Amino acid sequence: MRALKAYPALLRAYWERAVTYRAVFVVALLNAAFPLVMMAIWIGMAQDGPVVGYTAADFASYYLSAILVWRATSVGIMQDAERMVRTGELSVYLIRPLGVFHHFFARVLASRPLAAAVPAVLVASAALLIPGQQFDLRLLNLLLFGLACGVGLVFEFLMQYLVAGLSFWIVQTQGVSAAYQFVRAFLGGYIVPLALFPPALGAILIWLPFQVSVALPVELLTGRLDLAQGALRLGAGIAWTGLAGLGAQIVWSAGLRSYTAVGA
Amino acid sequence: MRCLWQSARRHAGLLRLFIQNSLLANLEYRVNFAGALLMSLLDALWAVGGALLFYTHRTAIGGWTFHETLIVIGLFFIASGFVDAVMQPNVRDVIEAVRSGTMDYTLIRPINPMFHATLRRFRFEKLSGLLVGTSLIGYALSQLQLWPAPERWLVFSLLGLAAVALLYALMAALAALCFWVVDVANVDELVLGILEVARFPAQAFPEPLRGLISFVFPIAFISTAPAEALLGRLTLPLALCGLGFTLFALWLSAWAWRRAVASYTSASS
Repeated sequence: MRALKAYPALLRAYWERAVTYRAVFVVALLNAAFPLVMMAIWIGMAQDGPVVGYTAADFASYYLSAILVWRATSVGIMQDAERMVRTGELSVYLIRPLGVFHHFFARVLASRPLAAAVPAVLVASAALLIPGQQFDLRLLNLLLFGLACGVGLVFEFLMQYLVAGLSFWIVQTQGVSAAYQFVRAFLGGYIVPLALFPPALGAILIWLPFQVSVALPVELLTGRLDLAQGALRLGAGIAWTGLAGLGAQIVWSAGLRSYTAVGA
Repeated sequence: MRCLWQSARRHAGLLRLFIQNSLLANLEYRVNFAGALLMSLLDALWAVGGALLFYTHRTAIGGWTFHETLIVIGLFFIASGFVDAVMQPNVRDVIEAVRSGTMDYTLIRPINPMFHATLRRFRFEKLSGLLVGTSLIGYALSQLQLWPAPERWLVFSLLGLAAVALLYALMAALAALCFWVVDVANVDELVLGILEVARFPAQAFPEPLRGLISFVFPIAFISTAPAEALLGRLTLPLALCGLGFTLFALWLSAWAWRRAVASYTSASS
């Protein structure tokens, strides 16, 4: 309960910090280059007829939404967490009354408006300009979309926190994190929509944890899922999130016990 | 003429020295190579996987079959390996040196500043892209059961070298830009972002993008044109056009560096 009371102050502090480095957003937008290239080629292919029900406009709306969702659910705390453990800076946080978890979580939450706002404006203007795009903007669906994005964000945060916890034992966790982003981008539907995988593979992918932070919200927003299906996959996502939380808890409590506070 | 020869020999000797120094520094961190190779392999897996997914829905895209596209993907990995290994560390260094004023130390040396600033540091572990790229091309050729004639190999290597020179000129010109606009950090990411377009054949893109990358912004010359040379599809005018682009870009970057050094104000002193 005390943690909850501290959140307004934490969020304000980390919001100030987030707006200090605005130029980084331009770079982050450029990470969208690979999916945009994929989009262009699919659109070229769709000119001789739809690909598994996706027309050129469908591809445009899918990938634009995917960029928005990817930005909204991507978490980058690895670098700082690893440095804190390596240099012993973590000790400062450990003697504070509020756990280090809350510092990271507040920081991620405070960075969300900026992370999502720029792509949101771009996607919205593209949606208005390009004809024939389809978004499902019914209120219930939008609520489910928002909920899916929230669950996706929490899942990504817990996964990053879990991998960051590995830095108690291994030094190069950034490599692990980069590899994870690669896997997530491909198997989560950021590079290619899951519906375009071979059916047998696609049927597995929609139940894997990676879909919750990209494919699920995108398919909801573009109206490719009915509510029942969406709710079912969201449930699976919540279950995976619980597992990730459990894993993070185990890693961090074991790690803190073996922590030797270098340099303190 | 003799003077030119001497200058070329001197620069070649210096280049060898720079490479040796970087190699010694890199060998300190041998494990990094394994990590970089793993990342290149993952990246290649996704690029090939993405292409494979395209080809489960169509047999040819823009006139390119799957294995022909693999050649283009391989060339893309070679090009981005070069950018990662050579251009990125040096451009970062130039930006930092201009910002902090340590560019002075480069400028007082009796050597062309563009040469010294852009080719001094190499990250050998990033050459893993080269390894992955050549293996992809080799695999594709064996699957196509194609062994190109020597003159095709000649045009291919010529255009490949031109592509590397084009990338070099592009990055060097961007590095020169930071003499005027110091706040240009991460400009290398911009180039890498644009380079992504070279992942697939230029003909696979819909118009007007296709025309744009073939003629206005010559990304097609980085991967598509050398692949076409290997497959024997490249026409002579197009090959000459690519070489012309490269020469122009090299001249432009040298000119930009002369102007940049002239306007350098030395932040520290």
